[in-house]
Amino acid sequence: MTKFFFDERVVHIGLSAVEDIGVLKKMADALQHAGYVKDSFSQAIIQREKIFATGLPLEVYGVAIPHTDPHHVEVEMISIATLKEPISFGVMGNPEEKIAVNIVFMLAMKDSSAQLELLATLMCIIQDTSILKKIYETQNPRELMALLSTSMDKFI
Amino acid sequence: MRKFKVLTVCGTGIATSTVAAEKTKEMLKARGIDVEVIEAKASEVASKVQVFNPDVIVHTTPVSESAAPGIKKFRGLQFLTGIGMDKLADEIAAYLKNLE
Repeated sequence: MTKFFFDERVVHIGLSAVEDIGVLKKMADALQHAGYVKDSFSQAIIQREKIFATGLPLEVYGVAIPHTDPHHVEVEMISIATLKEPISFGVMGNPEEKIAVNIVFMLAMKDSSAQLELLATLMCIIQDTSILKKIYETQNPRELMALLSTSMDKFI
Repeated sequence: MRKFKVLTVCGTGIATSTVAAEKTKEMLKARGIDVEVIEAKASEVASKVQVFNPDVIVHTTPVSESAAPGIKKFRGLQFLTGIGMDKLADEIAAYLKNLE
């Protein structure tokens, strides 16, 4: 896999927002300001979350992986947010069911086949409670990025 | 044993169904079952079912019975969270072996 580089401008520590929509909007706006996504991305990702929720109930933490159609994306990026207070998201496959989410990975993806390895690696990371715990407790964006890069290398 | 056909479904067809597809392939192979996997967006299910005629559907977003009448559907969230993943793979494998 080609090395994936995160961007400090789209890494949020202790993000606070009003409801899931507030989280999505803040993360999407940062992606747009940094030039990774088009103007339409923010609205598209909010709309999609309403229909196809992305909350994943894991062992200790709740994680959400919001994403939307590739045509709203300019350059691939993964934005990360740890939430100051847990925020309720719908569970994937059943939006009526809600879970408390602590960590959000917003995926700005262009082409699924090229991104498969990256996604699979990310899925390994979110299944590893000890890594999630470190991510959640990190107070410094650069440390969080380094932690993710190291964790990704471990799973390749 | 013949090669079985699996349709994985998610909202956009770019992220979760891709991961679910890989996991399905890998975990069924480990159980001695060879599968061909096709991915679909939720909106494409009815048309893909007609063309591909899958044996089972693994979905991370709800699939209505009318979109895929008579086809066994498994909720595939376990392939993303890892919790209960082996049990789900066992269930799918048992269902497919029964089709023989």
